[in-house]
Amino acid sequence: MKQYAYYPGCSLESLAVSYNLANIEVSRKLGLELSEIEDWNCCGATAYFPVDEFLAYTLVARNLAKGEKMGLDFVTPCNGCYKNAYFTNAYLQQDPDLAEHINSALEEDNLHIEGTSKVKHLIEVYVYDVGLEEISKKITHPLQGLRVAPYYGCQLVRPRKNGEDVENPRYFEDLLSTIGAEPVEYYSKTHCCGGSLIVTNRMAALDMINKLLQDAVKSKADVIATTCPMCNVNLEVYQGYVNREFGTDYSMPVMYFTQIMGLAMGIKPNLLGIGKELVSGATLKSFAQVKESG
Amino acid sequence: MSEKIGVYVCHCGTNIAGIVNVEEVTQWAGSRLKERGVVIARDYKFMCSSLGQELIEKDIKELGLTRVVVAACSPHLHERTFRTACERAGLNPYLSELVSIREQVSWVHTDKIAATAKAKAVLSGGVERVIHNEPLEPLKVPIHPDSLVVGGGIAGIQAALELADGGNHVYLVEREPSIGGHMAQFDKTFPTLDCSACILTPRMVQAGNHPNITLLTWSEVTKVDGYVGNFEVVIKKKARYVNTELCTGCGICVEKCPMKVVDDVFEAGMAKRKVIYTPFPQAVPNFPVLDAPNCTFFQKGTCKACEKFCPTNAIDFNQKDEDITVKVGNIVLATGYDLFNPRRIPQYGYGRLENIITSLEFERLCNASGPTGGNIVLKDGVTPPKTVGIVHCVGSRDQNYNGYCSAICCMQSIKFAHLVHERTGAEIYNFYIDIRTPGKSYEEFYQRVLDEGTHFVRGKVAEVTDVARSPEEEGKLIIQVEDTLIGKQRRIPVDMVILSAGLEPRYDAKETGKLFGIACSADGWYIERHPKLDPIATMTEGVYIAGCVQGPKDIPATVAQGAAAAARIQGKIQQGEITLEPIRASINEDQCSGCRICNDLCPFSAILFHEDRAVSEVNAALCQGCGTCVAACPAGAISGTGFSNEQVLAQIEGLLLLNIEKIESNKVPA
Amino acid sequence: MNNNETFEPVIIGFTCNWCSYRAADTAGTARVKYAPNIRLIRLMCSGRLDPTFVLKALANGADAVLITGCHPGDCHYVEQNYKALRRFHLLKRVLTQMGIEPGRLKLVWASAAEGAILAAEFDKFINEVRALGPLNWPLQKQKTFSTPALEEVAA
Repeated sequence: MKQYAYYPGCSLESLAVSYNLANIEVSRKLGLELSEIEDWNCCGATAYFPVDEFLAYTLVARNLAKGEKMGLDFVTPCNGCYKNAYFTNAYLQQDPDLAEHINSALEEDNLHIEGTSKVKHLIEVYVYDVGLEEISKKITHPLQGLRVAPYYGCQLVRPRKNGEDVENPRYFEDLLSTIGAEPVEYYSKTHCCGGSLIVTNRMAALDMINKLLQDAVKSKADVIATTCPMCNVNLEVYQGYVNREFGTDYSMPVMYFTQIMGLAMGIKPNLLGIGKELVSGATLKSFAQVKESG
Repeated sequence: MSEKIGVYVCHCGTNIAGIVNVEEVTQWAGSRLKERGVVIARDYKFMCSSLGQELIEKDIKELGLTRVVVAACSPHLHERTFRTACERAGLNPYLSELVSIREQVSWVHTDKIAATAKAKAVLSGGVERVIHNEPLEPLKVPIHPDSLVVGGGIAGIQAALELADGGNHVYLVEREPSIGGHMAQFDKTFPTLDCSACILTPRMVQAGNHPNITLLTWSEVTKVDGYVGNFEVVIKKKARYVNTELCTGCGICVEKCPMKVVDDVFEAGMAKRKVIYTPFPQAVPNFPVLDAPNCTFFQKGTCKACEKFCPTNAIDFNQKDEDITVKVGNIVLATGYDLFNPRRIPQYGYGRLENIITSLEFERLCNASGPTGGNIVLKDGVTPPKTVGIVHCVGSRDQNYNGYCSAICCMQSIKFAHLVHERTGAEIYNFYIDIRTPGKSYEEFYQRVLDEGTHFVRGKVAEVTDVARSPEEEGKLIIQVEDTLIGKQRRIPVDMVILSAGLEPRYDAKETGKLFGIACSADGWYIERHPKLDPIATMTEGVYIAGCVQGPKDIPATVAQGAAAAARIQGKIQQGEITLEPIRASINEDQCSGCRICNDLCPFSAILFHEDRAVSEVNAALCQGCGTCVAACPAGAISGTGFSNEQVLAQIEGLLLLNIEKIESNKVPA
Repeated sequence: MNNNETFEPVIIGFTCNWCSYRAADTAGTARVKYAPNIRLIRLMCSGRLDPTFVLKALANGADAVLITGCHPGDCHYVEQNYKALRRFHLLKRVLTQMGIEPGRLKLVWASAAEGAILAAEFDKFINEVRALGPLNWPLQKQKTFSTPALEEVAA
């Protein structure tokens, strides 16, 4: 069983607990063990870096150091945590002064970071480490006819790493095709959901969420698949607010990609945290039926 | 120590004297370096002045000086001044040294004591070095009066015409079937709105008919040997499959040819051409060319319609490429630019969405002899646009692509706005970062277009998309941009988008440069000898650059550079010979073991190997004096004049004041 | 002057006529200040650098040597700075085997416009060498804390 140092991130303990459940179930089915990092701390998300960059790096580095100690690749299912971890790790390798500075702080906790572990997003682990072929072997309930909008979100692909395609990545679509679903051409798949603006400048965020929902409807998606709890919350929890504000009547299901994968693998919906959504319960039930008959 | 060295320390007003104790340095040199051969040490306020130089000249004549060291400013400024002064007094100019105690001492250090100490050390280094200087004579090289101009755009045409009018013979080589370059593709030129073809074609015709110009189109240079004044160039004349002696340019073959292919060179992919074709009606020379890879006869063995209908039997399917070798004295590289490919910016939708075109494509659209007869219409070929967006700086001024400014895009975009306004009355939006209109009448042109009612939005376009978010946007291309002057995001629906793509070096500029022995800068443009004071010469004697090969520029600047290159060459031809700096390497045959390590190190291929005697030899005229071979020779058989081992090693000793130690303690350090 | 003086290194710097020497000139015209411990020699090209120059400098009183030239790709003579780079790496290994700290030989690229950058590199290297201390080259005559070169000042 391949092991990974798993960093769930704060929201997977609360608002996105269903994501956590789905991740663990699907990973187990695929022969991976997600070993949760002991006593991990918040990564600072997007809010902390503008406040104090050095402290923010240190906050992230503590988790990375713990992961390094386990001798395993660092994997996280949240776009924001992923971006923070990936780039903190990269900058530590490039800037010895920063590394020295951070390590002097980590020393207090008997930790040290080299920057040697690899940082991955859970979806990358599935697509590249496990491989689409292996995944296809585990699909027992292909989701035929289910049109899924692959919402990468912005922090999964930006800032650009290693010349990746930030305008039109395709790996999420490939994954969806592998599990038998039909990925739609989702125009705003790498556009921002507004992130924490939903708290600080609600109108700006609602406007952005409106566009994301509009595009999903335009491409006739049945569900939007997400790779990040923030994106998921913005799209799902605030759908009602968007409707009130803009006079729209969206009822677009929004699910985590592992929940969709899990259904295709025949895992029971309640084990995947399905049923814990905040909106659009009715459409989801019919969705679950699709799985039954599939 | 039989040399008689004169030392001169300059105050340079207070530039040096303000930090370095000049009198102390002079006095020190005079006393402590006496045993090294210094017979006189003087300080003076301004050594480069005529009085200063006279001091040197007088001492040479009266004291019989055999070496001169001046401690003053940078040799890049006054090395020649003091060399010439020595020459006037009868001393070989290469027996003098200028060491910098200004740029490299007084101007960069604040500690006066340390600066004075360093000045002494620097001077000492110069003294030790100059002892080993040898009298050198500049090389004289004859200049062949013929010249080669590579590239038949406006730069090349200008250079060729000026040289030819001056009575010199020129080979004008062009890789396309006709001369004219990019300028032939344009519709109107800014700011006068002259028809581009109208002002270009008379020059083209002149070049085609000039008795002193040998026009070689559909040809490429494949090999360059030799050195300034004596180049031997091999030019490949590609097979046209048309006998130019018989062809009258009637065009029947083109008419009868049944095959059409997309013309992605002259028509920028906007139209088709026949397989046997002349690129445009005013082509010079007016002989067609057969595109063999697309020709039915060459592919399948059938057709031959052109041959059947040619009234003078000029079609020759058996024609072969022909190599000719020419001797020239000077070369001008004027091979122009390529356009940035906007496909590299996926957010702009070029190649994915319709009605998004590049600047060159738009020029063809506008052009009366272009694919739409000069009508500005959408892809359907019929509908004129009601709104047009023109995007500046596509691929330029952008860290992700090219950081530089392409110089002509603002004026070009403003010109496009005017043309669209004139011909369609459409509503026009120009999206810019800054408006750059530096040339004559350029700013006035911009004002005129502003008055016409074109909207200028200051903001870098984020995206061009077809995804509508409101009813007015349906079926349109939407330009998403931040209007920085009003501080708001805007979505502007348009029918057509013109991308003012930046200029880039030709895709094969690097290889071409290597062929001629010149280098490219980081951006890919050729490196000029001096960016301010000598933009048309290169580091390789005898090879000049003109036009956009040196960097993006407009037509007047291009023409000026073409003319400048011609003038420079004419000066050399007139002199009949040129002198080269004698900083060269030379191989001592007796010491050379024939290992040939040096041969491959030379970037100018200046080292030949004599098989019979198994020794290498440096061609002094090709050698540029870098000294790499000198350093590499394991036998120490190569000496570099002007920078010999003896000179450098002595300078090291001098800089470390070992010469003083040698005198003081009679111990010779190991 | 003698024992309790802080050690001031003497460094020989090799510059190439077209880029780094001009960069040093540019630093001068811009009046960028740097420490006076470095003394420059002008070569036409960094490719001219014979390893014996470096050895000579170190053997004759220099505490370190700095090699400078045009950025790769920008060499006036097309690609000779690559040859300098190759020699530098080999030379560094040889020096290390001779017991000389590798920090005493450094290679820095600078274009003609990078006066301030080159000056900063000078200062950086001077500080690095100062921290290394004087070169204890056995064949050199006995040195006091201040090098013979600076001793001259007092003379």
